[in-house]
Amino acid sequence: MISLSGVTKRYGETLAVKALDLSIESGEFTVLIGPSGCGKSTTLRMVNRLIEATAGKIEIDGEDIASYRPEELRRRIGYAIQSVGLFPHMTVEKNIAVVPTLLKWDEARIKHRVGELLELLSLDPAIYSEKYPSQLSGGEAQRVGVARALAADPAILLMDEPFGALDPITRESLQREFLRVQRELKKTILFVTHDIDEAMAMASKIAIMRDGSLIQYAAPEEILESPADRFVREFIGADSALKRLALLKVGPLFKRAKSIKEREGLVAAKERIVEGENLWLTDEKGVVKGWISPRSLTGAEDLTEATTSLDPRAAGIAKDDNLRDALSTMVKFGFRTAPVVDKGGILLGELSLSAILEA
Amino acid sequence: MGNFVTFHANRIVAGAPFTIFESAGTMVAAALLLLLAAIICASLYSGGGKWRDYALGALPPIATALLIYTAGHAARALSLDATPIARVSLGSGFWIPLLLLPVIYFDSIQNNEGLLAPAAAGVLSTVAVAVFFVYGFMDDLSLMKEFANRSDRFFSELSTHLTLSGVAVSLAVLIGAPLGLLAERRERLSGPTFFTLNVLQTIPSLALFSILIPLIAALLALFPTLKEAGVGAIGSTPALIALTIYSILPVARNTYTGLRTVDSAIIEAARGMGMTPLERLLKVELPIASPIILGGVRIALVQAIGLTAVAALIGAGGMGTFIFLGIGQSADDLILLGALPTVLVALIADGAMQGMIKIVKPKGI
Repeated sequence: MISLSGVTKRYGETLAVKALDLSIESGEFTVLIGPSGCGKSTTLRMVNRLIEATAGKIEIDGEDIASYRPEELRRRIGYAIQSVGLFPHMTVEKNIAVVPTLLKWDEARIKHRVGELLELLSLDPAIYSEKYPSQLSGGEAQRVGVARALAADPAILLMDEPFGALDPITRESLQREFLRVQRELKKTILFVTHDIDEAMAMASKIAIMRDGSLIQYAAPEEILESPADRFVREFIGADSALKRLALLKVGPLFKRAKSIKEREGLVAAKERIVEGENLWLTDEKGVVKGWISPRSLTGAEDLTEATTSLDPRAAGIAKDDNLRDALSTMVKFGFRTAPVVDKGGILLGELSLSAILEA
Repeated sequence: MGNFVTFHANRIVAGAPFTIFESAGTMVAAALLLLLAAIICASLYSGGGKWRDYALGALPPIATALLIYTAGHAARALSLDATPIARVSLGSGFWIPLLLLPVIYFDSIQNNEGLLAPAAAGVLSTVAVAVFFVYGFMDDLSLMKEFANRSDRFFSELSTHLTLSGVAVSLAVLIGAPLGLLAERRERLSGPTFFTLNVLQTIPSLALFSILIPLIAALLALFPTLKEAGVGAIGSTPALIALTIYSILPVARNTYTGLRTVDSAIIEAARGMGMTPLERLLKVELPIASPIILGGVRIALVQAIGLTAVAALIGAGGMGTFIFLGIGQSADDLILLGALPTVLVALIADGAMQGMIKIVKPKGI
């Protein structure tokens, strides 16, 4: 647990952080967010004493951080930054080994730990261990940066816009991957960003700051549903309803669907279909091939003629997709009801537009 | 090659110039001229691809060795009928190609790294030239006669020269590197530090040497014990002090610049991971800055080897001894006996430092 009480940072006449109180539970993924100059980075850097607070107290698990030597404190806290800052003269392996080496771990333990971390971040140790930072892409470098922050297995991780310099595709895949890692490791994370979508996607709690003060500190859903004031409302943007959808999963909302196999034929289809609903056409394994509406069935000579075919990989929705992505797929393909499929395209059920609107 | 060598009846009188054909004979002269013509054609011709690279890389060392051999050969031919006090000195027809050929060679190997033939030609030619000198092919040249008369002195002065510049640069590293580090850590100090070092650098060497003599003399008057310890107002003490002063700037400046160029994100990461300032310096900043810092040592070393020649004026010895002796006696070849080895030693030191920087430079940078 990290607790800040009355933490203030003054630069000459200006107050960068004003008497901030913030308490972060263990295992929580807390995102500090706000416009530039709001004091979020300063707050983060006061936790590992890269910046010394002018006033106030910061405690980790009940112990005042001022009672440690700064270096000793920092070795116990993982730290990752936007510009990564890998050491260019060290291999990936040596970079990750920096803190364990400072902590004088023995060689075998370090080597084992480095391999473990590379694998955790989906970097093949055989390929990456001996590479130098100049041989890595931006995404790979940041993975190594995160691995380096995790190296000595710190309970707390401070991350200052770690994915901010990456292109949108790499950023999104790294966000997703880091969430997976976090589910596994359950670190206490303090994460700074100015990107509200990133905050919504990653955070279990969001702390919104402005002019050095904390404006609202709550779970993402709560911030979307009841923003504390006009500033928060404007900051989360006009599409807060869509952002909320992004936090909800398809899983609990989809229903069972009616389907028919190709060989069962037109007559069976007419018997099975219900007015106002669609019938999904599948192959023998249950992979979705298309959909049949009551209207298309009337006057059709066979099942193929009545079917509008679709590709389940493009038009199908997965169970753990979020509702915003599901809605996007439905708008794109003009569905009122979309098929929910597994990885192989096998029909699991259907999700209706009305189910999303009611969510 | 109108004036390849000059024949003097003795060391003092004006000489008579000889062309390469007159002095070295038609065969040798023709071979050398053909080789030079081929190199000139290759360097002017822009096409030719690989063949041109080979020609410009491999032919100049061969031509250089042949040129030196030809000079020795010419001197021998002219000396056959002459008295022992006659001298054969080298003329512009020798010096101009000798200066141009290495330029072409080094330019070529820098543009075509990894070609084997040019490197092999360079090594073989160096060995060949060494053989010419050691086995007496060159002994009839005036330069070598001057050398023969003073060979003991030559090696002791050379060793003095190397010691003076080596010790001065070592002292400069011990003073300049911490100074550069201090200037980088305390930015307020960098202005005054480099202003002072730059001013010191602009003092002409002769002036600095002569300023130091009365200063040290005054110091010795105050502390007579220094005198007993072997410190003198003239000789190696002022020379060493002056050479060290000149060498500090390149070392300090490159240390400062090298540390400055370390990316601020790298510093931030090092701090954030819990490195102490000393660990950060030793494990991160110095390794990254090392090629630039050693580059400063390289400049200081080459500069010191050149400046040490002037130190002979205040009685410190070194290769300058022969240069000033030669000026006093109007004996050009004696001047060369001091100057040529100085240039050669500077070039070797430069090459050695470059090689060392390549080896020391951390991988990944």
